Amino acid sequence: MNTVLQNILAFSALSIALLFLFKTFVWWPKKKAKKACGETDCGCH
Amino acid sequence: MSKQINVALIGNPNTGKTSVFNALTGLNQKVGNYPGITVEKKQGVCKLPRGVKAHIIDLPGTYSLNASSLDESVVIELLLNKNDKDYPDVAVVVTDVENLKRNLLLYTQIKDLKIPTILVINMSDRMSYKGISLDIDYLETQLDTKIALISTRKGKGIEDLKSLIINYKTLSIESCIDIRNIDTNYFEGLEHVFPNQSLYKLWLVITQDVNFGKIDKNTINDATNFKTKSESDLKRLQQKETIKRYQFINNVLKKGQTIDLKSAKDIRIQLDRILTHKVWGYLIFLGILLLIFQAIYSWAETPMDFIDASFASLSEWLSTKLPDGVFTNLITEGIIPGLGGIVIFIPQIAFLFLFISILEESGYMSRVVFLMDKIMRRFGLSGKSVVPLISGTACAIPAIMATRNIESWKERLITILVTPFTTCAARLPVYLIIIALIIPEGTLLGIGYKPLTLLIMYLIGFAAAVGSAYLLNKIMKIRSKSYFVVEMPTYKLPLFKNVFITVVEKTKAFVFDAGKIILAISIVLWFLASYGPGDDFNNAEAIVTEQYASVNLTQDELDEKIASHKLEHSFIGITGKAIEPIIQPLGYDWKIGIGIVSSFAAREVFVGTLATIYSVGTDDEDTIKNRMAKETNPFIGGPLYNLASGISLLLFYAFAMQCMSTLAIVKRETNSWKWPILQLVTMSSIAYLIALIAYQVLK
Repeated sequence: MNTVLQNILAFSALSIALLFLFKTFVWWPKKKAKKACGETDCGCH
Repeated sequence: MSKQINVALIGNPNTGKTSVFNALTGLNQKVGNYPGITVEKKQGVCKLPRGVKAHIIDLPGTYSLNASSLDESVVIELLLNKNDKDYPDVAVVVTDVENLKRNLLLYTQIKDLKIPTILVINMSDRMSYKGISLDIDYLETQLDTKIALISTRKGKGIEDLKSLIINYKTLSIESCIDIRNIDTNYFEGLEHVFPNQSLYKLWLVITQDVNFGKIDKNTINDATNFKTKSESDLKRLQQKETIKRYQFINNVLKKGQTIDLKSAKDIRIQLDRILTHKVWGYLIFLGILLLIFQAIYSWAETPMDFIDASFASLSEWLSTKLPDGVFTNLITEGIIPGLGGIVIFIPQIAFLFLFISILEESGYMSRVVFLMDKIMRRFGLSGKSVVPLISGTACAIPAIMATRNIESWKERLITILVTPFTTCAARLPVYLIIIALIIPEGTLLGIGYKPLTLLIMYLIGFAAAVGSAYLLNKIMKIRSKSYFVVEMPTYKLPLFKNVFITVVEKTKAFVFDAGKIILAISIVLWFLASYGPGDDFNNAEAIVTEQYASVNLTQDELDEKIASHKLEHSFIGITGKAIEPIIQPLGYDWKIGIGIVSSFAAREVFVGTLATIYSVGTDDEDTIKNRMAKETNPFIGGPLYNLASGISLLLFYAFAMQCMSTLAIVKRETNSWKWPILQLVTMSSIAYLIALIAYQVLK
């Protein structure tokens, strides 16, 4: 395995890891809040 | 010509309703289906004195008139439709003496339909075994009906029931609760629009999708001068209705029913007397926890050492087999040590889930919930908070979602805010590795110091949760409390198959969920630790060689110095050094600082992070534990992981809000960033302060 291929593989792994972490912790798809939070105002209605 | 009356037998499942039906009708039965649906319809005839014939219909078992199945809808349809040929002249509600409280919910609902209702208390032969005594006169007065205490097994009380049926016209048709009390404005508005209709029947039509007479749901919704409610508001009112009914039932049973556990002869009762005892119950639970932790340590040691050594060997082996280069280094110094940092804990986590699963399967966990309920109430929380707090020992995320069944918003919010204090499975890897490093071998009364420390960490988590709940309760002043009903299952031997599946599923979920994040973070960390800006990093070899030119170092020692210099001037080293002044008073160095920052993603990432950081630039075959044990404190010398810094680190993780996913769930459940931010700031501040005090006192 030459140096170029090693670099490509390593930086591809880094890109996938960063993308995965971004998707997991930064980008959450917006979901509608469920209206089921009890008898007083919780602010979600 | 003989007179015929319609009798409906109604009751919860497993109350012996069909036995009552058989006792009344004998062989005069026929079984068919309700029109259009495949719900069994059982009818029979019972000959009563004075030539009266009772046409008895055995309705499907139902817990309440809040239908959740087709069978239950059949019951409501019949009870609302006066034109149905089977509409009962009298309803006979069959209850089981052991579950009277739960069974009476349905009774109060039937009574509120203004149908003459007889209460049958079945299985009276079990009363002496269960230590139950009933004040029938008092119950009759309070429930405003006649009661037949029967035992279909012994054939007792059936004649009394027949006599009550024939005299049904003397029964009161007054309601048990006034439905208006649930929401005065709403029900007064409804009464104004439909003045001649029963309010409770209208309420059932609105909430249950059933019709009565000419009135259906659309008629009510289309009424121009009546403001309908949203589905969620209706659900809320239904919950309120149930609470009101249980309040009524509790008051009635407080005097009408006595359960003397001392006179109970049942084995289950005998066991419950011990396991839920106000002193023995807690001591036994503590003893069980100690046994679990002791077993976790004793049994898991060998497989853990094997896994740790295997990962170290794998890393070493791959570095010799794969060609030199960046990717090889990433695998051997980043990915494998990082993954090893989580896989090593599989045995201990599997054992933990094994014991939890056995406790759940055996029926003991419900007793623990009952025990904890007693404590919760003292701290201002109701029993409904117990389930989230106990499930929090596995993971705070489902635990926070489980708070949805708490009616009171403030009580629910407090439970959401304090649940992350309970020791979740993600804290376990951090606790286990630190305890292994700082707590010496040895026993106290046959229990090892290490399992004892782990138990103390669990107790600290629980104490922090209830303590903060108490404080929040004082600040937020909860007025209404949710009611908590837990049905104690019978004790049984756990099924091996069920236990096995639970252990495999839970361990798999823990390892794979955390594994993906740890893998990704290990890769990023390795890059940050292997690259750096400026001459200090790029010319590390020349700088260190020149620095130690006058000192006689072996090649290995020189390599170690170069690797250490590079790490310190890498991107991660620069970041770690920047935060070091903040964490230094807690006894930590910059590498632990990086571990803490990266484990903000998830607590278990801490060990994987340290494993990666300590592996970068080294090519010796060593385990994670040994590498951590070799670390020295850069400021005062000596082992970095000593008693003072170790306890400080344990306490930091006990209190800190180190979980982004939990914060995201709190945001979703409260629909506001206010609460998760408050939770993060408060928990982190408490963690920092306590860890600081611990280190400064112990150093």
